[in-house]
Amino acid sequence: MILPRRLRLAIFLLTRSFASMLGIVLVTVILGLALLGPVIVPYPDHVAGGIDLANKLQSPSAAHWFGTDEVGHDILTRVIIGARLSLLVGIGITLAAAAIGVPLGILAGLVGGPVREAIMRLTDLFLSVPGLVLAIALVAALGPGIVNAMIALILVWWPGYVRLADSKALSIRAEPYIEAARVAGAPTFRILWRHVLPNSLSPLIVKMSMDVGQAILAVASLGFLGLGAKPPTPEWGAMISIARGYLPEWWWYAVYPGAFIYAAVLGFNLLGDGLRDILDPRSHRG
Amino acid sequence: MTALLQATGLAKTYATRRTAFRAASSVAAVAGVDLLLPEGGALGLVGESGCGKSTLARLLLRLVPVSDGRISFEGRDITDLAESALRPLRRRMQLIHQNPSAALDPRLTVAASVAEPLRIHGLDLSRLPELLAEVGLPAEMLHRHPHELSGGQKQRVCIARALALEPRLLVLDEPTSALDVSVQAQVLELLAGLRARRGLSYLFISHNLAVVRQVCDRVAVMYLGRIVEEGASAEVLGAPLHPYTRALLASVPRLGAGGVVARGEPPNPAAPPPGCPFHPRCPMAEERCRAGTAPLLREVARGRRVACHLVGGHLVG
Repeated sequence: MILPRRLRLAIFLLTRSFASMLGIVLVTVILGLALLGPVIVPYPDHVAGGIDLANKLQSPSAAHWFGTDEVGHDILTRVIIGARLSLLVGIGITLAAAAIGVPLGILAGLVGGPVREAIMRLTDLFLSVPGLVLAIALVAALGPGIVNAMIALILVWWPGYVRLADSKALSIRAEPYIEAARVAGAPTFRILWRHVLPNSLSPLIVKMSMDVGQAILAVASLGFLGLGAKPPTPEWGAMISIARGYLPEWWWYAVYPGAFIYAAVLGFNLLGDGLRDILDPRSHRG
Repeated sequence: MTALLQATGLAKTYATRRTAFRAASSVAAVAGVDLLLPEGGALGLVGESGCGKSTLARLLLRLVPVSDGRISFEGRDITDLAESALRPLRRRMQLIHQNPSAALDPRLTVAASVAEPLRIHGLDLSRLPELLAEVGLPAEMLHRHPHELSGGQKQRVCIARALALEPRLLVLDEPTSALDVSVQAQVLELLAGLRARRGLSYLFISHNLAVVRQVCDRVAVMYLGRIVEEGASAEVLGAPLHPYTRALLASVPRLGAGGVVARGEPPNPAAPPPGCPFHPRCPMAEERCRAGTAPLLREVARGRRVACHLVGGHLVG
């Protein structure tokens, strides 16, 4: 009886805001394209290989809605297949970064003392260098490629989660309900798992939603610089990287992958904003 | 009557860290407290905010590390027990917080909150509705979240959670000061009933003297981390001996008030005054109060202890 009521409230809060709805629609469309991609694309053999030089650099038409690229591939097909890769990489980076950062942050905030000092100074070390610059350096060291790009981005991404989880754990540690759990005889791990983690979850979920968009952008950036996915792979950043040479005459080649990056980042950011409204415990009251 | 909880020379000193602007120093939040709570007794602990009441309560429950002194519970020294060895004892000593809204995890339902201590100790969960009934809450409250309850209902949930483990000692840290007056009376009534029914012992912290008089049979008055007067609550609150107790009673607003009034603010505990810690505010202070060490808590009559140079045995009839 409680859950449907809360669910209805959540739906109400989401639908009330145009921005949240737009975020949900964009994310749903991109998720749908990623899931159904191979089934719905008009030219499945254009994903890699299948060169059709006779149709190269065609402007958008009924046959090729987004036009074709320099080897005659259908850009719509490649952009849709690219959604799959970008989404997977974006979600993967975010989850991995959170999986490293959140436990470290909660440990730091809960235990305090020299443990916290060590964790936080290491975090500061990573945060003191701009993330993308550090990622570029790391990929350069590891060698270009989509897997290495992901590893590099995970390595620069986790410190943000440490910061957030630490500050949440620090404030929750002082809450009387934590003391109440201690009085009841709860061991530290139980306090962490049952009280600290669930109560720090909302801001973490909001950050994760927003970070999926940021990670998609970061992977596209590395792809654009030639440090991510290699060009035959239909990756948005890598596509723009080549398309740059065909601007402005063959504008559709760069514009459509760019528009998809834009839509993905915007969608996940708006979704994060919407989730913040729902998950804020204050909005439950009254 | 045997002692359920006893403290001897209990102290808590907080070290402040050295910074660029300030040398390291220490603050004595609790400075050498002797305390005895008999089985089935109710001891009130009164004093201004910041006098160390809550710190003393948390020391006694071993929630903050002890700097000095000993604590014994059920006749057993628990001062140096490790947390794991303390866990089974925690079943018999429970704490009620001042603010029930903060003492309940906002994400847990009433059922989950009250069941948590039972789960931790592997006890039977079927008693939940019974526990709720005992604190005067209907069973349908079990599925509510804290934000759906009133302040008084939340405090009842906290009491039910504490009772779940069948404690012998309840430490109540200003259990009614966050509630409005009509609800206060109901909660106090509930606490009095529980004590009679279950034979509980209370350590009742409050700055509300009327409440202490109603609930407690003995009362200890704290000032700057020390107990300055202790005795039967009717005597201490009816005929106070220590100037500080008199000032505390005089500060209760009532018609035609008079008597001793403490001047100024309590001193900084990091730099307590020499001699009697109360002398800068005491209207009766003499030369001997301003130097030397703080006066010791002495028995001035049967079951009546006072820490004041000016109070001798002869004052008590």
